[in-house]
Amino acid sequence: MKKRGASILVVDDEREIVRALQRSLTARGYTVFTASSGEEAVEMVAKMHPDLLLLDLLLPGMSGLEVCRRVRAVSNVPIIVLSVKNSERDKVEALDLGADDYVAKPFGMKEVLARVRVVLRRVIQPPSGAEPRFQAGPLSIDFARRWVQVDGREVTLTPTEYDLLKVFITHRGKILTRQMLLKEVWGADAHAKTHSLHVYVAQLRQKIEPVLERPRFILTVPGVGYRFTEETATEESNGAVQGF
Amino acid sequence: MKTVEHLLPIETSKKRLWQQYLLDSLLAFVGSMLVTGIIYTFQLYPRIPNISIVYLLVVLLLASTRGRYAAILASVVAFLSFDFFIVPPLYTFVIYRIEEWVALFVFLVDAILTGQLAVALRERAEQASRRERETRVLYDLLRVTNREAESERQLHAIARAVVDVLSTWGVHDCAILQPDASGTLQVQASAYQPADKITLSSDEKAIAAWVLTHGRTMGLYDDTTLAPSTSARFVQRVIVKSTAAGRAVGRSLRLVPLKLGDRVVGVLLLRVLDGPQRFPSEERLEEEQGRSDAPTSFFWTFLGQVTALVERARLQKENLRIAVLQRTDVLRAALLSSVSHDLRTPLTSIKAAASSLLQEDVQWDEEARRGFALSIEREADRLNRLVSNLLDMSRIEEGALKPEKEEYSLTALIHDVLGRLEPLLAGRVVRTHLPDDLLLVELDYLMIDQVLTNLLENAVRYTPPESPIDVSAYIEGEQAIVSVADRGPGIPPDDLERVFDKFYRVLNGQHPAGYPMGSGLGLAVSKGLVEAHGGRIWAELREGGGLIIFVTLPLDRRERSGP
Repeated sequence: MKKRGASILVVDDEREIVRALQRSLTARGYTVFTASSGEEAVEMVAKMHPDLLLLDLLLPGMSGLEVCRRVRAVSNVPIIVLSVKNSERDKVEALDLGADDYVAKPFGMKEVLARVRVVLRRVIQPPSGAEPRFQAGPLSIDFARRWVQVDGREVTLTPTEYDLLKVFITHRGKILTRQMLLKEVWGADAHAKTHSLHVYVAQLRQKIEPVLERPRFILTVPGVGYRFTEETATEESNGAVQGF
Repeated sequence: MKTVEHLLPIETSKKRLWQQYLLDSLLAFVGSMLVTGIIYTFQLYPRIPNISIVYLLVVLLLASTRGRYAAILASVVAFLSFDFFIVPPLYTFVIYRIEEWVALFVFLVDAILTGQLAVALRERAEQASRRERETRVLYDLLRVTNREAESERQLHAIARAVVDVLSTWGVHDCAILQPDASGTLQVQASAYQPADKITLSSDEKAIAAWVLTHGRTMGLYDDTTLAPSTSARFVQRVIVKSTAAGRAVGRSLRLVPLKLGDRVVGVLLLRVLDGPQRFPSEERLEEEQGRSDAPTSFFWTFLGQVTALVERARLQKENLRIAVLQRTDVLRAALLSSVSHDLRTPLTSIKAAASSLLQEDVQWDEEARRGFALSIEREADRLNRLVSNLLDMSRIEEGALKPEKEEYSLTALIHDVLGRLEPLLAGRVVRTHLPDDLLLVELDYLMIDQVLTNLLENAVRYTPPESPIDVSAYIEGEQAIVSVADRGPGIPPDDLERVFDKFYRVLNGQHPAGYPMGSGLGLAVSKGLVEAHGGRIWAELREGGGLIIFVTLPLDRRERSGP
């Protein structure tokens, strides 16, 4: 399915980075367009209707954040942001502006490809959040009965932990900033709950991660938030948190 | 720790109060009348012709204890009462006999002269003791200042001394202001608070600047009614809002220039309580400046000494700054060359691996190609970590580092870091000793992540490949402790503290055989990051060989409202 030739627009002003991405993505069967400035990117989104945007935040002229904002105003095309460390604020802002994911520079190609795959799959098959069951490796959840099992053993979750897990699974594969998680789980009175968020995540991990030393479901995205992944560790975990 | 030594206060100018005059008058009158009464009662005159000499005792007594006024008054009262009550004809000031006239006038002159002499003697003694006291104050000032080595502490000692000495004038706080490189006045020291805690209001700053340029004393009063009516030079303070209830009490501010010759080297800011009554007005101070006998003359002597010391402290600081600058230049050059080395090492590996892959005449097998690629990736990661450290170092240096603390599970963080560093740790035995609970700690995830990464990277780089690494975390009292321990060669005990010095590896020059060379920025950065959290980092030699580095992070035990 991923080789059906989805089109990807790569926006970066560093020619070497563009070339490396283009080569790898083309090798995987994607159609690649490139743009080297924000203005050009906005124009090309309108003209080419790509299936995905790989967007550098640090661009000459119009900033990546502005591109993000303008593209979101007219289109729902998935955006994966490329950014360097020490600009956590921009990263989080881009995600809150509607970017779907981010990859820290310098990145491993494996990681970029994994992110692209997940995002494109979400476009084709958006998790409805209304599935009756969820199964990934040793973890299985029956939403109708609020049952959570790990390796066939039932796990007791508090209501908040359950809600949190449900949010993670609904948005699986997607990076969730602290803000998003707070809003989804606690709703309106999410204010000032950031502290407890990490505590709940740590508790949830203790209950559902088969090997606590190597979390395979809930991954920390340093400085940004968390990501729930259903892919197996060998396929992803290195790449997912690597690269800064 | 150190006992605070207090200097003797300056003597207040003896402005006599009407109560004193009244007492003097009373004593003079009663004393003289008592003698008159005795002579009158016992009819001693003219049986003892020069009985009037007894009066001299009273005059002498008053002269030496009460001063000139009492002595003269007593003489006059004695003269008149002797004439009135004792010298016939009684009860009138008329005297018929010429010898009695002469005797009486001689007595008056005698009494006044005796009184004068006694007073002069007393004044000289007082002056001598005042001189001695003033000399001692000046000496003490020099001594308490010299006791401090750093110029900041010297200035602080000077400010305290000024408050001690001028306390009798109502001075209760003192700040020393000196112009900085751009000519703006900065508070350099204050008597009771650290200099950086003090902020001057804009009017205070403006007046201090005026004093600096004009070199003249200026007062600043909260309330005009308190300003001396004789003083034309003061500024009334406009109080926008009354901050404290105590504000209303007569507070004022005196700004005194510290002059060396014609050059004003600084401004002394004195906070005075009910100042106008006790602190001499600006005009009076300046008027009496040149005169050595004036009551305020010691103030100027003292101020001269203070100025000299303040200037000396400044020069000392200036010298130190230049020395530091020169040293920093040396260090900067050393750091630059070391960092270049650090950058070049992984670059060399990358270049070597990449160019090997590009060789057309060799057919690499799959394993070799993979080896080259892995090495490129590993070295790139290393470069990336180095750049992270450099960025953090510059943020630490700028003081721009502010942890965004949130409550995290320290155990989970350690797992995350170990997971991320898997390529680096490949082939090493890493043993973790972590408690079962979450170990919740308030921390900035990215910063502590960086600290652990640095500690682990160091452990890997400076120890033999087969030696194990132990990572532990636990709670002890009010803090969480993380430790990373290795079984490497350790470091000389003398260097245990210095390894966290930014330039430790740079300045150490010779690197022991088998040690990779490097800037050693990692530990310095870790130190900065941990300290920004209010924690501590230190190294110890491990029993059985190896090095162990401890990091403590304070726990926040505040009750938080439930989730």
